[in-house]
Amino acid sequence: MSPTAGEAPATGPSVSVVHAASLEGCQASIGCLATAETASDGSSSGSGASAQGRAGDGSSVVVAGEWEGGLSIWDVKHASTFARDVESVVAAEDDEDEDEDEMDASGETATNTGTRSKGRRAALLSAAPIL
Amino acid sequence: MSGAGSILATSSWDRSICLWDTERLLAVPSSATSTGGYASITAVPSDAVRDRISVGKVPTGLSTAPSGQLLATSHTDGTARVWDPRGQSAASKASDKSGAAVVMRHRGLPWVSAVAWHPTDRHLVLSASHDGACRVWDVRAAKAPLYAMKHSWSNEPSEAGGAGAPSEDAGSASTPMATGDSAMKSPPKLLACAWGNTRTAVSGGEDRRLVTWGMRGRSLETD
Repeated sequence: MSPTAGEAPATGPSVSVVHAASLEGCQASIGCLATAETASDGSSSGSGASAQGRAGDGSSVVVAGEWEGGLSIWDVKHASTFARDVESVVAAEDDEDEDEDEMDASGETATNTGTRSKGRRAALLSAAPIL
Repeated sequence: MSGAGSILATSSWDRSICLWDTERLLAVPSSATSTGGYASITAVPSDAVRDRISVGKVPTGLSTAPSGQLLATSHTDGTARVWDPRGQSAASKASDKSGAAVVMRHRGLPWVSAVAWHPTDRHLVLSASHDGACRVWDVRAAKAPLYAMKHSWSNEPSEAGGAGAPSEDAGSASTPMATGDSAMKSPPKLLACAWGNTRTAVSGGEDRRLVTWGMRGRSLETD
């Protein structure tokens, strides 16, 4: 059913924000988020393979993908990180790739502008649970 | 990219949403190459596309409703939209000429970078945008968001640390200013949002902070 058909519209705010926590420590801009929740029976759902370490306490886990290729896992319920920088999941570019990128349209090698550093990692732009 | 059952939905910069039949995609035999346990499908059978919806504006994000029957998209034109892919129902109830069932316009028309449908409440959608705000919308009354939550930055008026002044939204809140934000000249762009659980929203972006928003509401209390 379409949300616009046959339902009463909301009147006034039905949601209020009661708390905000700021978790700092990511090394680069956060490009994507995925979530998982560990159930009290020890199982996990969502993108939760990495959540097994805290299974059993109903933790909510958020996976943040960063623009420099880093991946961090956060415990939302306890407003903390328990497995930060688990892995840089995107391999650093090697020198050959960097050289290719610096070829200009005519095929000549462009001057190195210094805007790209060796070992830079590609941005993580999406993450999704596999169920 | 978002999945519900055997249908996979993708949004792309050709201004379309594509609905794929995953069973047909996975049934591709010899054209698939496998690397590290993941299949890379190089030749997509034509009958794997269930439907293609033209969305008019470039989509930046996609999320499926808990029922799996509605889609929400975020766009570069300052909107988030809800689509009903089931035949003519979308066109007959369209709220704008693009054919979207619901259009959520963000004040100032910032680039909307992500949307996330609430995991259990089919009426609530979260959006993140480049004006530094994460908004909660009720798709039944989408003229204004229910709530707007902002990542604070150095030039912002003194509303850091508590509820901000009402704006176009029914409610608003902001976070304390982040450490090291003093050099920022404009609000940090939000690039991602998600629901941590049924009562917690999470947003993140160029200020490298992960901000969690605890929520209370009648519909959320019943989850």
